[in-house]
Amino acid sequence: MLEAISIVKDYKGQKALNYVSFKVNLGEVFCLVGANGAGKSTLIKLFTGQLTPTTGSANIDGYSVAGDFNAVKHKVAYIPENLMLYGHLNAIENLDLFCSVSNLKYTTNELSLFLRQAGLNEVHYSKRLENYSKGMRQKVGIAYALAKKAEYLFLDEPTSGLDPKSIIEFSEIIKQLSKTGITILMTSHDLHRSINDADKIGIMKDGNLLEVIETDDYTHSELEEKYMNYMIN
Amino acid sequence: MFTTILKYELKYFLRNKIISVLFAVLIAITFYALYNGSTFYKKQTSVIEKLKVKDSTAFQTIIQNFKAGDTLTADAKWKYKNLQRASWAIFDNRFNVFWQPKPISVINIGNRDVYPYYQEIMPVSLYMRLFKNEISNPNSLLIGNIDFSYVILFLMPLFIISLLFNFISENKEKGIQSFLETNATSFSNYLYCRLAFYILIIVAILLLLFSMAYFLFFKDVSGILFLKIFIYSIFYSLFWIVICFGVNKLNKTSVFNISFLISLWLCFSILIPSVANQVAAYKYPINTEEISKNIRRVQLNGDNKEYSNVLKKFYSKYPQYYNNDTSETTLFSLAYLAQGQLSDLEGDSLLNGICEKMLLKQKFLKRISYLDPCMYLQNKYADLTETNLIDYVDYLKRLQRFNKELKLFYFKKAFTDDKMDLTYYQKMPKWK
Repeated sequence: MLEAISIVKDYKGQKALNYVSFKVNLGEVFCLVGANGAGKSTLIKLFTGQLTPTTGSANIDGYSVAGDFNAVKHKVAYIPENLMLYGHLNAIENLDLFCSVSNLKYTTNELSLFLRQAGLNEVHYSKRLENYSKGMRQKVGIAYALAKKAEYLFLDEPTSGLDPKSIIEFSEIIKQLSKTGITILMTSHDLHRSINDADKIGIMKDGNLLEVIETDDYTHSELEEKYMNYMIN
Repeated sequence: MFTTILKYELKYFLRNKIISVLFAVLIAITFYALYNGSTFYKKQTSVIEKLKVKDSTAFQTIIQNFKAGDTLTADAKWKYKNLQRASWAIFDNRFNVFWQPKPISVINIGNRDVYPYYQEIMPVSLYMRLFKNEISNPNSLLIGNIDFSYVILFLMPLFIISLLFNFISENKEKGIQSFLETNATSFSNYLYCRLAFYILIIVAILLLLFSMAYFLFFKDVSGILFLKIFIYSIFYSLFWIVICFGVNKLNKTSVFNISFLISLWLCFSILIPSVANQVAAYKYPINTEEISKNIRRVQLNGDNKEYSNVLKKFYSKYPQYYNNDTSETTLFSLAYLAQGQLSDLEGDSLLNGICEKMLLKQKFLKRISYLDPCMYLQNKYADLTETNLIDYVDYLKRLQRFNKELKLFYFKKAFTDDKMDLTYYQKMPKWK
């Protein structure tokens, strides 16, 4: 389970996060939405050990990330917003390299399988990543999460800059990952896709988590209205 | 993990077009640099060999003239007579002295193109000839050369910079750093493995360049000497690898890194050495013009009184040559010799002063070089290949000693008015 307990994060005297608390249960997809600077990416960074909270705690399976990240690191996969990977290597080679750095050893067939599961078309496996679109590169990142057998996946703005077809494909992948029991915490600007992809949506503004919404309880338009009300007021 | 990282870094190295082009350029320039150094060395040794043959032929002619004796033609007989009179022969006989290059100087031309490597001298009026030669032949002064040391000193750091300027920053810019910091077991281990790869690849490239040099141009050079130069070059390259790593560790952008590294390269390769040279030139001015200005051609106006005054001055300095029985016919030639020696005496102290300044300058630059690895390696190359200022000073000192031996050889006979014979000529000092 992921748990944010009264997290405060100060950046040079400014509050990036202001007593943020929420829980994400196993197998859930939790999407943080909000304007730029709302604190979404900061939360992701706190859960992936890139930042430490000023006060409060980001916990994974009961372990505080700030204090004991190594205990849960093997369960975690993180895909940053602009993941370019190594352009001079192809998908299999990138995957092999990153698996190796994580002390994971797979055969080429196994690596191909992960790429297939991540939704990457086989014809692209041997092409260098310098020719890949952002969506294709993200699939390689997801293949890595599958190879790592990650239980928690953190995605920072995964759909920004993707074309509509890639966004739809990405939604499918998220659903499939969720079905396999992976817990996903992601950030997004796309309210409409979020309601389709996530089980819960957290609306953020100026470092505050304003409300956590169960997506099943709302229609697209209701959610949009709620969101706009928060943003205007 | 290490072997996988090595495998993919090697792929990066081979697939990166810019790196491949730079590598090819580095190899091509190295080949040209070695060829250039080799041509320079061959040119100097060939000129020296020709001059040695010329000197040897001249000496053999003297011997043959002595052996032929009375059977000589009238003209040859006149020359033969001159050879027997030391006070005349001293002006007829010329000697070539050489700053002999070592085969290893192919690597580093150093000061060999700045200073004259051969000179034709006479036993008297040494300094007038010595520095007249230099002043009339300064065409290659400070032009600089593309030799093997140039490749290692200046191009190798640039190649290392082009390989490593974005060693860490690229990962940050491509999102790989945060990806790996969260996902991998140890991001720093990954970086150190990559760094190890680059150290290996740089050493391998140096090995390739040195092997190219050794097998194509230096089969006869001492392996130990070559190994020493190789090891110094490895340490110099390691310095640049560490600098690149350190700059990357500042966690700035790739653009910042490349600008900063190129600035450092300019600083170490050009700015510090040129400022140091300027300071050295100001602190220890070396002006050979001073000698040529002060040491003039011997001029006597044909007055016996003047000849006697010159000889009087000479004998007061060299009483061992005093001859009470100087005939009027030899008075002029002895006075001429004496005047030449008196001006050489002045030249001796001027040259000693210049040599001292050269050594002080070299000492000063050596001290500064501890702050600048580029200067340090440049000095080391010059030391090991014997192409530095100290070697040139050593050559000048040997030249001075040789000249003194020659003078003694002729003066002994000139001032006693003894004839020089074949046996005596065969004891003539030789340039070593």
